[in-house]
Amino acid sequence: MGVFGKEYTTQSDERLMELVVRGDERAFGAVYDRYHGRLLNYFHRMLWHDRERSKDMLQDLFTKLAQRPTSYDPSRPFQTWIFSVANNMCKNAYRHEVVVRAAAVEMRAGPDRVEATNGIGVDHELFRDRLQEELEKLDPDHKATFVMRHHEDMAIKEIALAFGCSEGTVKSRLFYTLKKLAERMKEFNPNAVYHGKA
Amino acid sequence: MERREHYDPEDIENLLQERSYDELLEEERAYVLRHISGRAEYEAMRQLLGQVREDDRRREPITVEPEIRDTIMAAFRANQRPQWRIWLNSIGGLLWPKELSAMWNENRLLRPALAFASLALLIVAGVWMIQSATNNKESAQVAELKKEEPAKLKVAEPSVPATENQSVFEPAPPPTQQPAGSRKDVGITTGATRSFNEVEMDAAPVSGNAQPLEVAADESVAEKKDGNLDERREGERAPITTDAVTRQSAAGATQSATHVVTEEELTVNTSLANATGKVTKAVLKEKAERSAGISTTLGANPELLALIGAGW
Repeated sequence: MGVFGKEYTTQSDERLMELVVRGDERAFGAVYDRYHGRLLNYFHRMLWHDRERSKDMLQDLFTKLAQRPTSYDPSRPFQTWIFSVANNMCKNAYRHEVVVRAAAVEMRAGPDRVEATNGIGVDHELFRDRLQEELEKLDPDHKATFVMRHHEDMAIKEIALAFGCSEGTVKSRLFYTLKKLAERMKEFNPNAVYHGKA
Repeated sequence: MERREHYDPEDIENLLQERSYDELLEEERAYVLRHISGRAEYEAMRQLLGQVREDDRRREPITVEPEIRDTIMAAFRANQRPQWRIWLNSIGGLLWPKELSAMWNENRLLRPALAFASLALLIVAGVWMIQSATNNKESAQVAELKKEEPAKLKVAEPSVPATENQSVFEPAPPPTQQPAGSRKDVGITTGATRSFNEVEMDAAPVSGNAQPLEVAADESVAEKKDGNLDERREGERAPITTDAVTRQSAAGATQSATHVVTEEELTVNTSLANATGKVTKAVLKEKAERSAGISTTLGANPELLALIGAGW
């Protein structure tokens, strides 16, 4: 295991997937070990910070990969491919629960929260919750683009490949998402003048 | 000539990350102001971007239970099993889906109900074909049996009076007056004998015993089957028939004022046949067998047995 295990850890994603397609169990384990954390956090951010649901989605994703490893397109980088699959799963989840979640967000949002954060110091927990609320109000593609870029540190090119769009589209999405969030969350900006609007 | 922009609108992110509004060059600031209202918005975006990065660094990563990994690896191992098992599973799942609504899938090629109906149709068709084949065999056997009945009727009826006329009601003709060829009418029906027998039957119908009828019929059938049997062999049947009748009369069961064929007459007939020098051992053997058959038949006749019982 030692020599082969070392080889597995140094292999590229695409090479590992070749081995997985041939039925190499340890290669599949290496792929899981390499990506399960990032994907779980991605699901967690995309799916309303629901841990259990995120774990279920992660398990579903890798179970599908285990059952059909040939569904991977070798011409694409594995990272962009696996994130595009994860993003599609999140979209399906949104279709089922976006209405319910939107209603829940409306109930949770309140003016007292704005007052509490209207100061120089920034409560990170509050900022996190508020950012999550605002992200969930966005279009799923814009939200996913933002999460991939600023939480998963994916390159613009990788995000473009994951979405199957141009890099310019990704940059544009990022710019307007950031602009919109800054406008909606300006109470967290200590330099901004607060006018009492959320 | 207008100077071409070095930045696209979406590239502001790099500027936001690297420089504050005051640090922007004139060229960069002009570009930013085309897409952003002013300093405040630029600084708000920059602040938010920094907070997002900072928040992401502070966030504790979520961990996964090792059971999930085991489950996924087990799924991978299960997928590596021989393909025929999966194929059988898919067939089983197709033919018997968990939900009944899936029995009639939108995909026409994957309709278990259609598959079941086709299977049932094949089974019904197969059973019907097997049954029809069996019936045909039985019908053929019945047809073969029925084929013999008309022969029995056509041949036996005229032959019986002939036998009785000659053997029972009339004395045996002398050998010189009745050559072997003329005895053909005893066992085998020809056109001439037929007319003769019909006349005889109208005048004196056969009374009672039907046993000679069966005997004659059997022999007639035998004669029909063996088309190569020559007339001499046919001539030899007269004594057989009369022999049977003699035995019947000897049992004390039949007609009272009839001529009884004696052993001497039989001897004469046999000697006549032998005199022709054409009776072979095989014919004699066959005659003996037929006599045995006749005896068996007579013994099995319930009417005869009833008569015997009355005699007792």
